[in-house]
Amino acid sequence: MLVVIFVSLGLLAGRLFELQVIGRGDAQEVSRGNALRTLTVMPARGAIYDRHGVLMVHNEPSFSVTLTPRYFDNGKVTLLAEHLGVTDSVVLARLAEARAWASYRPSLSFRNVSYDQYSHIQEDLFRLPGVAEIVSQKRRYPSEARASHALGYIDEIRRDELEDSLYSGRYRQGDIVGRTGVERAYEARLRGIPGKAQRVVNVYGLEVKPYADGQGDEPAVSGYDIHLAMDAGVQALAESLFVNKRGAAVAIDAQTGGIIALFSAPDYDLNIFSGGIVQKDWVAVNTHPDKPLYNRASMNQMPPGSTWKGLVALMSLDTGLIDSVGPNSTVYCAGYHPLGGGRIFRCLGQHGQQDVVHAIQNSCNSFFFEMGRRMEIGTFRRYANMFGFGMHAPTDIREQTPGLIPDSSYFNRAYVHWGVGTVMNLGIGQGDMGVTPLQLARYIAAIGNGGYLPEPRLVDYLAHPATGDTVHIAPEPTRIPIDTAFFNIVRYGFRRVMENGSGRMAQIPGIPTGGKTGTAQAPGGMEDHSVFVMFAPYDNPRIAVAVQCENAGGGSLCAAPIASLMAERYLKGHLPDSPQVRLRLNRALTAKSEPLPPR
Amino acid sequence: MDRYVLWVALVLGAIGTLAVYSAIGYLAQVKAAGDTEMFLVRHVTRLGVALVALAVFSMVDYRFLARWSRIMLLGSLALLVLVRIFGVTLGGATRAFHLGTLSVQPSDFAKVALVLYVGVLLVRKQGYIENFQRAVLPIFIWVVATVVLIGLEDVSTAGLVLVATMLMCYVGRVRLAHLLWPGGTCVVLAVLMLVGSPQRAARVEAYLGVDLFAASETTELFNDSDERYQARQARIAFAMGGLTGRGPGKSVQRDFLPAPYNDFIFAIVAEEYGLLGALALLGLFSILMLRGFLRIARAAPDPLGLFEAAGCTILISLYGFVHAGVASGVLPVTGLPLPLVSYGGTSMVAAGAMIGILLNISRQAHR
Repeated sequence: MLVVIFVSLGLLAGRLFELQVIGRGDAQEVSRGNALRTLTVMPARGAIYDRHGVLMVHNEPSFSVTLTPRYFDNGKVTLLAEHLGVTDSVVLARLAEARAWASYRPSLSFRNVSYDQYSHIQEDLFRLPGVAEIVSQKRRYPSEARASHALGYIDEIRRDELEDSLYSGRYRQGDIVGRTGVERAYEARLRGIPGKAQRVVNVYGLEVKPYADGQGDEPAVSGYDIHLAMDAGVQALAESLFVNKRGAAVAIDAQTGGIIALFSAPDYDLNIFSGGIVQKDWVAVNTHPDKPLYNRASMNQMPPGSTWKGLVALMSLDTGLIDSVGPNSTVYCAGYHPLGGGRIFRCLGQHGQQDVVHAIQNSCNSFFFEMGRRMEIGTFRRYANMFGFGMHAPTDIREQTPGLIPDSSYFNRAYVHWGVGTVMNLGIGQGDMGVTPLQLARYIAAIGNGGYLPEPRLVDYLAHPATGDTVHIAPEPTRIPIDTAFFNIVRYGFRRVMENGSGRMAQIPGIPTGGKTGTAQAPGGMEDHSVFVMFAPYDNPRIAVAVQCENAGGGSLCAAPIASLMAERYLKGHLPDSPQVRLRLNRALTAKSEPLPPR
Repeated sequence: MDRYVLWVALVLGAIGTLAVYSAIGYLAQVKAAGDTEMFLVRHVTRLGVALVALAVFSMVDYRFLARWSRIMLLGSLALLVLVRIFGVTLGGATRAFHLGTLSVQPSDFAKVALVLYVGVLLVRKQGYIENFQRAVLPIFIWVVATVVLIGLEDVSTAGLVLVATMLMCYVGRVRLAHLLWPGGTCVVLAVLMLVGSPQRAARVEAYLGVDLFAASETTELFNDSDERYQARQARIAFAMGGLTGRGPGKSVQRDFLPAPYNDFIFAIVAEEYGLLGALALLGLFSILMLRGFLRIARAAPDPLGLFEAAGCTILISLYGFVHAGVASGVLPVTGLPLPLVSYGGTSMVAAGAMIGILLNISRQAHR
């Protein structure tokens, strides 16, 4: 036993000798770092502006309180609780949490306290040992337009993401990442590069001054500011018009594809996410029956209804199913298509002889059923793909669905029996197909500008606030391989719709336009979906708009007034106080989506 | 009476007073608006109480104490249960009652009572000490009951008491093979406790410098948290001390080390008085141990005196060496005071009492 004792004693003495004499230099080196604390300096996340320079997103200070349990005086629980406006038990609970993780280290115990609470605690800090305050940044949304789905929300990085190669190494626990919208798509540019600062720490662990006058510090590099193609005024107008509705509106620059407005209704308040979302808010927004987090503008797939007739017309002209002049340039409408004995394929009127322009103007179902009968389904799909349907759009909106454009293999899978009737329905934009408002906006832009399919994008350019470095995002539109003459025929048909057809109510005084209403059949006996697409002005269009209102009736009832008001607001810079505007406002505001049946 | 042991106690108290006065600055700043003297007075008062206990127990016949040890043990076990129910939280665990400024930790009573009672049992069962069921098992039952109750809140103290009583049993001629049995159980228990508590696992990981439980949340949560931090700061304290130290009251690491006045007082002594000071402190505990074993225990008038002297010596010196081991990074971080040196309430009184018992036994030594 004595041997054991002396061996242990010898070990201890040896250890002391090693520490105090041999290893001295090493640890003295370490001790220099002891009085120094290396801090990560978070860069300022980039701000976001609209196309006119209106500030839509920036940062504001966020105040948090940390607790270091070992130094906390338990007699001060009530004082701290009073300052924070919480009960003693909350403070005690946070203390216990903090203690469980590290009792000598500060824990972030109270996030996002108000400025008042922050300053009251600051005054009393000397009475509150073990309490400290941290000022960080959170997002602020000063614009009248909420643009929730376009801008997107931010959130604290998740554990699994930290291990993801996309983030690992550059992100730490507690860092913020963009989850949706622009914040997500441009995360790398917005975030900036974190810096490092060395601070001399006094004996109580409080920072006194920069080390070596900050010479060894690496400053944080702020993120790029983003300039959107969005017009906050048009966006705000769209948001205000969608009361009592589910649906979406997308307006893009008809030449460049810059997204002027992108709205999905209902939306949600980005502010609930800005400084770390509270569980209660998350549950409320995530379980809402109308799914406010869901970006209908780029994800809602529904049949396009009659807005589709422009595409079928172009396909038919281009493939010779119908001619623009001559003997094969008309179809006779008796109020129905003869196939099925006139009971199944009905038209809304008896239009008589119809050429392409008139068939579009009158939205003649008989004509387009006939085109559907004549067409080959593979060709149909090829032309739909030319306009970007049935696929993801090349865009900076990550939240997308490709939609559905059927082909024969799809029908073989979906149905035991299918035949010409199934395909004929596609001619009028009904049946088994799905398109998103974003796709419709590209499509109507291409019709408006005579065949150039633009790439929609939220961001116009990025500019670095410090270096002035600018990154322009200007993708070239794709030429659709269809004769311009055919485009001009269809364009003219769309103009006739606005002047003489179902779009009459949605005309913009003084500006000729082209457009098309659509009524998409909704399943389950619900009210139809209201769809509308338009471009304006008629010559060299600047804006293309697509609007879907779920379960709100025909296209002229809800979607048309909203789209034309948005276009008018964009082209004129304001909405004039005219009877025509008031009439459309009234229509748009009184239209309603039929409520979804309770689940 | 053994003068060496008495002097060791007094010198330890003196060194402790100096070191605590130096180390307690921050606590004073936090709790008493910088009134360090108040804590000095408090420490000296407690030291005084401990010395009174030392004096009293050196007068009381250890056989009288032994007779009451069973009652004392039962009483302190009851207190341990009560503290579990009504106690105050101290450094993460419920360990103490508050009596005025003094926080009373029943584990301090329990360990003294256990050492006394194990001594009694060893004497009583010497006739058939080789019989596991009759002799060893009853002793273990008492030991395990006490250790578990202490261990509920304070694992390191429990472990130390367990080791001390096992050593006592070894001195009391219990067969080594019998001691291995509870020893093995304890290793299993220790592993279970490590797995059960990320905090503990993190301590061991910090000590070994490897990620044992990388798959769990442990490492992520406690990465460079308290344990690694404490070990690093203590290391710096030793290095800064060097051979001769910074000088009394000139510690810097007291402001970086958590609880420098208690769990890391050895590091403070090493920093202020250097390698020489640290070795001197170890020397004092060695003297206490050698005198306790070689003189007092050997010269004890009866087997009871021998076992009690051995038990007290083992417990005190084990505290001393484990504390030094933790501070110098030989052992994982745990919060154990250095007897008679650290700032602390009942633990100091308990140390005083045990040295008092030692002295009493030495007074009755046969020549």
